[in-house]
Amino acid sequence: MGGGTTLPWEYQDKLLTVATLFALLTLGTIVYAVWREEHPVWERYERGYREAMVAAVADFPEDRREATLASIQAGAIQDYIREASIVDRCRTCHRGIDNPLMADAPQPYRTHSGDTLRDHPPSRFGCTICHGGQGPSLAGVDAAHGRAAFWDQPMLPLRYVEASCGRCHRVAEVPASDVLKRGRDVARRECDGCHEGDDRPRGAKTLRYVGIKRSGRWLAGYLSDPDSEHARHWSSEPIQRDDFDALISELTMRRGAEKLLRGELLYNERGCGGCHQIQGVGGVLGVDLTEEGLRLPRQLDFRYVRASGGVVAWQEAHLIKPESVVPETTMIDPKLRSNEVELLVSFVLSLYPRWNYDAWRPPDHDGFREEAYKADPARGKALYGRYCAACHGRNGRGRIDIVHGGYAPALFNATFLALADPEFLVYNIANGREERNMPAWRQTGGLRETDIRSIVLFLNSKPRADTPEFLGPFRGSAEEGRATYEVQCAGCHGESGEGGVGPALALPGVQKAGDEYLYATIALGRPGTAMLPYDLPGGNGLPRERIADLVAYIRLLPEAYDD
Amino acid sequence: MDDEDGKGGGGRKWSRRDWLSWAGISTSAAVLGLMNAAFFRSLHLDLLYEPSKVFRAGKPEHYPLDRVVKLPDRPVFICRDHEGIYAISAVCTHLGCIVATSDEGFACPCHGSRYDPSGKVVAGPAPLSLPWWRMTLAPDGQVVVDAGKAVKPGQKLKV
Amino acid sequence: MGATVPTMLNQFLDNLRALPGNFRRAVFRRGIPATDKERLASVFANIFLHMHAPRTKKNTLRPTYTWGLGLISFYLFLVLLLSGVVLMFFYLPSVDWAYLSMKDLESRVYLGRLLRNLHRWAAHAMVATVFLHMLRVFYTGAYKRPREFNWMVGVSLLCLTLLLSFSGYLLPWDQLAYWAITVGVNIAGSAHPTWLPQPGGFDIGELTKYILLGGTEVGQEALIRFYVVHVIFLPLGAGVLIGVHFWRIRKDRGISAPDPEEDGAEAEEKEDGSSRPKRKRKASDEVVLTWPNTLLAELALLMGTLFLLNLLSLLIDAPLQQIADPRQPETVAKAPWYFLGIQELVSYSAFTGGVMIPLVVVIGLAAIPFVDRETVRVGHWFHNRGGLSWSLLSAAAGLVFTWVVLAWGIRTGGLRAMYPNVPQIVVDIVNPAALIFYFATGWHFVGLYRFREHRAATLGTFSVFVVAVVLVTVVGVYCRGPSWGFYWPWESWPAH
Repeated sequence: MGGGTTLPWEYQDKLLTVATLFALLTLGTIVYAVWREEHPVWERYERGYREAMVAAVADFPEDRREATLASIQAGAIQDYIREASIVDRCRTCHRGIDNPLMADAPQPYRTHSGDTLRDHPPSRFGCTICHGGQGPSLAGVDAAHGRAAFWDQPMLPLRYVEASCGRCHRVAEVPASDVLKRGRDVARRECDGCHEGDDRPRGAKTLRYVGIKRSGRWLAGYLSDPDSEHARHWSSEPIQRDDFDALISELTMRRGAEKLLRGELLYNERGCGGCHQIQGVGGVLGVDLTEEGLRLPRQLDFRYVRASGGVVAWQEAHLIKPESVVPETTMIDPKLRSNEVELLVSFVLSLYPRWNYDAWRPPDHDGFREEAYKADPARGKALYGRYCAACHGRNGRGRIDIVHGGYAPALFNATFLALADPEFLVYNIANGREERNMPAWRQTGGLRETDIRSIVLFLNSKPRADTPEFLGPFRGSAEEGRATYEVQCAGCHGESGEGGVGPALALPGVQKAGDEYLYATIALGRPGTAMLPYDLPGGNGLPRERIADLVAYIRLLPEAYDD
Repeated sequence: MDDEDGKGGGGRKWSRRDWLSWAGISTSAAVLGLMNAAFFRSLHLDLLYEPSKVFRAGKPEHYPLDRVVKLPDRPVFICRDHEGIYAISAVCTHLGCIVATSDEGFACPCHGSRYDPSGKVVAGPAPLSLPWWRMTLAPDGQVVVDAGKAVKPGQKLKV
Repeated sequence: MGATVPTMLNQFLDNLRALPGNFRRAVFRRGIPATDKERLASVFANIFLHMHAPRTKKNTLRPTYTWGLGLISFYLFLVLLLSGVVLMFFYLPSVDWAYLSMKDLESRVYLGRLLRNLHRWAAHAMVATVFLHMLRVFYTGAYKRPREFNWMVGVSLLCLTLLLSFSGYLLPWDQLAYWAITVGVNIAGSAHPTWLPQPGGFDIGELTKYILLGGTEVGQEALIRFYVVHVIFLPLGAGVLIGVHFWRIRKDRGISAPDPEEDGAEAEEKEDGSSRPKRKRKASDEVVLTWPNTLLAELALLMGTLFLLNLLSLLIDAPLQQIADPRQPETVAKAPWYFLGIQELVSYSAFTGGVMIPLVVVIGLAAIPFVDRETVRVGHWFHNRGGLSWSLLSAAAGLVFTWVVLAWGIRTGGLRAMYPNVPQIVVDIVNPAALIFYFATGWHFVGLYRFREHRAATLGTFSVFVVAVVLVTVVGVYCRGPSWGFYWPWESWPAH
């Protein structure tokens, strides 16, 4: 023992043994970590793909077989699109995605279905842009597919994958279903003979995606050009104007994502836009849906829906029966058939801020910029269905809305249409009815002047009642009118015209109408609604002078209301 | 290493203590060394945020015979003749400029290196010939260039 | 006058031959030491070993005396330093890339996950070991003269450790990070009590927050600020202070140890009667050579620390939630666990719990060696048997009192709920946080009155402080749910 200043050797031995032991254990952890790193979870898919390829090229000629096998990339594969900040490593396992030999291979090697990849190669778009999931992850199947904790975008179920098309491709205007149906028939008759099928003549291209590359205006111009082949085709057998318009609509809809388009059609025809806004257009009673496709799981209430189903399950359950998911909802039960749920969910999931990456911008990105059009009743009909029908009824009979309170007048009422001046209608649609559920459709609802005029044209195309000519004077003494009002009118229209079951007479929407309109409405009533005709001889009929007095008193109502 | 008696001798038998010292010191050194090595290894990335070196370059029949085609977005020439198709790097081996085709083959605009049509350096400061990149055939019939893996010049992909 | 050319050439060749040996001697001065004298000289001559005294007091090597906590903290600091530097290669402090950097560590960087886990767990562990190290130093009385200054350096290092950990918390840029930092920074934002005048709108808390974040909310500016502070200023500060800390240990004649003169029996007991010849001076019996004894102990400790840390990092992944989303607060926004005690206190009064008490606690800790200046029985755990029982009694009293006060605050909602019109200044003065503080202060004088010893009084107060910290932190970590409501750990939180 050298000197007395060292600890006994047993103590040092102990320390050395402990150090060695811990060092060995640490070495073990490092070696394990390195081993784990050297054998990533995707390794076996790399191997599996090679085996599948060896089998697939077995009957190739020798040099081609070798060249093909040599093309198999080793290691992890990454699609990196700098400009769009996309890092997708999905092809590390899904190696056969663009390999026609793998059409019947098991997943994850199978070839991508359809011809989507022809225009959307993964090297330019990645995968997650359409499918969702955790693109950069190589940490395992669940993690990569986004089924991991704290990853908000799990893979979109395949049945909804078309929703992703809507993120870049946008339809300007989905026509009504009868127009589409007609257009489909016309196209089948006039176009598909040459443009579809395997034996199509030289130069006749498929029209399957024509709606993405060409706008409606371009197509209309091209097809009606008298010098074109098509015009010659129609010169012998002229095409009807309506058929032609329907055909253009059909062609602009040919863009591949059938489910998504039918979803949007459904959205329009169910009148969802009457309550919901998308990018500033639509009613305001419901939730703004502009970014509905971006909803994150933690923004949703999963008390009544299986949380593992994620956002998709929530949207489905919600559309099947809104109050089963959100008990306090005021949404009308859309009463969808089971196949319609899928369509509408596809559309809802596509509502997503558009990609704004120039290099990708498809020709239809902005819906070909809405083309200017003249007000026309056919368009008006579609718009009525989209924005008005939810409250006023598809049949125009009006509706009492218990949930939101209030009464939506019967717009197809023949008497009403006979009396209402078009400008009066335009004013009321554009500015809405204050303090009622009717929003100002120009300012708040986002409709344009032409849209509103189209709706009015459509309304005016409905049958009108023959109404007697009334002779003036239409305005009598307000003093006299007051007593009559309180007895006859206040029950439904409110003491100071604030409205109740009947419209609020004090508000500008009604006050804007002429005396004659008010007079005639009181006199003739609104058949089919609670408003009785007061001109009836006998019964609760009022003499004509009393009606004129009422009109005069109604004109004073705004003052009473303001107090 | 700890020779407590102070008489370090060559052929002396190792005691238990010597073994223990040796084991303790060497395993600890191994731990520290290995940890350092592992993290130095991490500086070598396998996936890069730059365009992939392996890419598809279309079907071979799209390239005209006996013509040199410069790919628009990659520093690679694709050449095709009746023996096959091959890819030559367009990066000058001198200092990395992009060479252009010339009458005699390729010429570098920066320092005047010149290469013959097979990429062999014939003049100028370039120390090496232009490498030929490995070319394989994807299952869909497109050629795949691996601009990270050189092959022997003259090795063409028969199509 | 030169030698002949052949001689010169021979010399040249000789020099070349001797080069390896000379080079080694130039670097290391001497070979592996064989005798004690050489060992002493080695420690002296080597810059790294010179941090140690050539001899170490034997008593300080007892594992049960120091538990190696200071050294473990230092090792963790080194691990953090090295792993942090490697992480810097893969991290981009930008709100667009920070989160992807984290994901990249998982899938792209070789051993990236292990690297991140090491850094994360070492950071958490260091907070714990530094705190425990402080407990050890306090309960063995090691802060006493001449080590007052080093104790203060240690208190500063505790603060720096907390700040280092906290500033690093934001960098992953996930929901956890974002909302923890939002909460943490808002604590700093409440530094200006509402009842204090704000001349010209001057609000020290808001100003601090504004400077800290480079704006009014956590965003890109905040991220880059936290990053720079985390990778440059705080590590630099901590490194310098650690240097001072070590240097002071040497200047204060090594770490404290029980004085053998006074505690002869115990020291004698430890002697194992080996064949060591008795030295003349008794005091020299208690020192041993640093090389190899201390160095071996340190090596064993290093390997143990590395092993546990590696094991933890292999088994448990560092948390990473969704990418930060300023529009979507977490249901429960909690600061990192070591700040949850403060967050708990803040829930009673932002100013008192978040600013006043932490400030007073830090000052109070730093002041301990100046309050307790009795230098007897340094190096003995809990002073003596009486000190141990007083510490235990104080801890129990502190536990009960903290529990009662917290229960009052949780059950009734405190003064504000009982008297809605009470002014804020009264709420700031009378609330659970403040009451705990008054209790700890009062307890000091109870101890003084009972024992007439500053050491005993300090032991009592410190014990109250420790249990209060632990209990309040436990409540913050395990018993707080949405809207900072109280839930037992076994209760489930209401959805939404």
